[in-house]
Amino acid sequence: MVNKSASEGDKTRVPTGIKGLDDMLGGGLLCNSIAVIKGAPGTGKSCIGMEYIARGITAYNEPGLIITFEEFPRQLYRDALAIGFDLREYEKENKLRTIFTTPAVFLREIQQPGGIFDRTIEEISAKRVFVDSMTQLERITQDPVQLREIMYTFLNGLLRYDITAMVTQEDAFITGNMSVAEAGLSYIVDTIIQLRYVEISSTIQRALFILKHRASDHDKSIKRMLITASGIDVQTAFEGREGILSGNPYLTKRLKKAEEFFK
Amino acid sequence: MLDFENLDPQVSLFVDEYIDSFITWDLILFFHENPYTVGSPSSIAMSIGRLGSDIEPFLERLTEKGILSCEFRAGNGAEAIYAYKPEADFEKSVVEFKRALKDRASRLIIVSKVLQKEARR
Repeated sequence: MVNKSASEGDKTRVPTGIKGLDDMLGGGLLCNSIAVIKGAPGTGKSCIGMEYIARGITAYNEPGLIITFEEFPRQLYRDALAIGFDLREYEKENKLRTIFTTPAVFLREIQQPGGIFDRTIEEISAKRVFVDSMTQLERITQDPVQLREIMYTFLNGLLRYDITAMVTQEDAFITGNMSVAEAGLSYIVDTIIQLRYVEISSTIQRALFILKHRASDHDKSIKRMLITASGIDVQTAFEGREGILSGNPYLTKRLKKAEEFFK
Repeated sequence: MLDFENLDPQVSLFVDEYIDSFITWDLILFFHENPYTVGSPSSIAMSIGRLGSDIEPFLERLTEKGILSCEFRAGNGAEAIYAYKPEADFEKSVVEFKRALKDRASRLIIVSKVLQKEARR
C-alpha cells in the first residue's frame, strides 16, 4: 500500500499513487523533476495528471496546483469526480488550486517575481503541479527555436520551487505513427510516459509504457491501462501479442499455434 | 405580467447591486464556476464567447466593486491581468442567484431587470 507520507520513503522519489504506475517507475517520479504524459486525445493524459495531484493530497498530504490551458476547471472537476476525486472539496480545504489561464499570461506570470504563480505556490505550499497541456504553448509562437526557448523557460520556472511536475503533450496520431520530441520537450523533461490506443479483437484499448526515466531503471513493458470509477489502473503487460505500438498488434507465433490447436 | 415581488428579495438585491448587464452576468458566473482563472481581457472574453473590447469596462467595474483583482504587467503587449477575489458572502449570493436562474419565473424577472438596465445605458 502507498498510504504513507512520501517523505517517509525514498526521498529521491515522489510516488504518483497511481495503481501499477509507481512499480513501473521504480518507486515514482524523480523528486523536483518534470514528467510528460504523451498521448492522442482521449487516451487518459488528464486523468493521470488529476489523479497524481489528488493522490498527492489524499495519500501523501502534498498540496497540488493544476494549471489548465484547455479545459475549464468546472470540466476538470466533473471529470475528476467520474474517477473518484472531488477537486472542489480539496480547493475548499486549501490543498488545491486549479488555475485556468492562457499560455501567454501564465508564461508572463511565471517570469514575474512575486507573480500569481509564485504566490499560489506559497499560499498552499504546493508540492505537486500538473500542467494541461504544453501543446497549447504553440499558441504563443510557431517558430520552433523560440518555442523551445519558451518551453525551457516555462519548465525551469516550474522547477524554481521544491515541486515535482507532470505536464501533458498531445500526439497528433491516434494510432501508428509516434513522434518523440515536439519542440524538444522530450529532451528537456526527465520522464516520458507514453499512452497509446491499441486495437484488439475489434475493440480499442489503452496502453501505457515508460519511454524515458532519466538515470533510473524502469519497467520496459507495454501495459494495459484502464480508467475506472476509482482512478487509473495500470494492469499487466499485453501478453502474447506483438506490434502493440503499431496500434494493430498480432498474436505471437506461439499463441497463434496454441489457438489453432484448440480450434 | 411579471410580478417582481415573486423574486427572492436577497436575489433581487444581488441583481440590483451587481448584475448591470448580460456581460457582467456571464463574467460573474464564469468566475464563480472557474474561481482560479487568471486572464487578460482577451483571454477571458474568449472563455465566455465575447469580444475583449466589449468586456473590458465590465471587468473594470467588477474590480472597483472588489469582486476581481487587477494587476498590470509591463513589457511587450502589456495588459491587465484579472483574477477572482470575492468575499464569502458574495459567493453565497452567487449560489442563490444560480439557484434562482433554474426557476423559470425567477429567471424571467431577472432577465427583465437586466434588460431594463441595458436599455437605460
